[in-house]
Amino acid sequence: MKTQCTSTKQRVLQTLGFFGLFMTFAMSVTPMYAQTAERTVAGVVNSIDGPVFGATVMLKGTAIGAISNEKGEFTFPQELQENDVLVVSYLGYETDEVTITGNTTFVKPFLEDIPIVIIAALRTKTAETSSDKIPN
Amino acid sequence: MRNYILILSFTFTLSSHAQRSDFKEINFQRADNIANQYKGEELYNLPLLVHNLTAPLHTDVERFRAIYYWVCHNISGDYDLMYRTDRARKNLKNDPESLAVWNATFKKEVFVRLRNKKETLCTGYAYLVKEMSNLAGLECEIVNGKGPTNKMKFEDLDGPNHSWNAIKLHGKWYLCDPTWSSGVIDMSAFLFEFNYEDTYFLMEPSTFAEDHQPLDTRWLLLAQDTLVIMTVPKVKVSSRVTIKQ
Repeated sequence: MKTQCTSTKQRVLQTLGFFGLFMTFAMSVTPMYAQTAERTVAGVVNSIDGPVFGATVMLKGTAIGAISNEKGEFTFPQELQENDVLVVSYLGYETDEVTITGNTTFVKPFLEDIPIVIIAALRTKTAETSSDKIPN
Repeated sequence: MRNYILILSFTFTLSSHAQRSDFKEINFQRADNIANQYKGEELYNLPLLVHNLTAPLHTDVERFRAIYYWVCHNISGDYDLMYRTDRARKNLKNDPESLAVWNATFKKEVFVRLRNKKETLCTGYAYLVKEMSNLAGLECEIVNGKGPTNKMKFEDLDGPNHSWNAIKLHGKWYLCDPTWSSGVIDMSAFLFEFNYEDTYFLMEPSTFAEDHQPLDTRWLLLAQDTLVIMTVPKVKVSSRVTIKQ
């Protein structure tokens, strides 16, 4: 009887031991995995006119972002992982999207010029009232 | 039978012009309130502004409404930019190369003034509505063409003088004119006055065409008329079948 009790106790202890080992292993593996998948990303935003000061760099689908400094440089405030997309924009330039791949830690978005045609002709007739609309 | 009903309903969908009344069930008050809440915001962080304007709204048309309403209540028309554009375009009319150089330089100034002072001309309004809509994930285009005002006619204009927008909402293209919605320039003082005109928001295309003639006539959005003519027999056939059943 005594022997039986002991073996039951042993089995419980053994199970607990295995569970403890498993948990220790699981907990030590997860942070290691996270460390390799997530990383700090920095970059520099350029355009045909040179580095872009004040460009917004946002994580697509969120309101999390950074603003580039006078050298066009930025460091994203949140760690990023593979397939995250950064949307880089500045008024007057085409918006660029950069996808984080592999071990990307530095990105170089380039903002193309917008092929926009500025038009706004004055009326060929003199306005008769002060409240007339005119094409701006 | 089911197929005929599908054809019938599809035909009716095509036959209606894309206009504001398509969204009768939507109350734009929430979108307008959100736009008012962010009145006076700067353009330095456009994605964040777009996020703030659109995130609490549930439909694309409301998201677009918030953007449109915000632009029309926060961006002023600029007579100086307009006057200089007109003068340059007239002077360089016969010199396309110089005109291109002028445009490349001048557009930078237009964007700087829009960003820093929130003042612009029609191209800037149309650009901003397009850019903000795109950031909100909506398809939006700039449409250039003639926009006669006062007692002018299309024939009085030498070339395109105006820009507006086409916006795709729930699978259909709609027209709007943020410049003319925003306000007027008081010609006695050459100053802009905000005076929101709601009729240019998703205006019915045939009414819009009365004072908007796009360079690319596809943007009249009257092409759906052709579809109506083409699909009329189908309606009759399917109606007859429905009655028989």
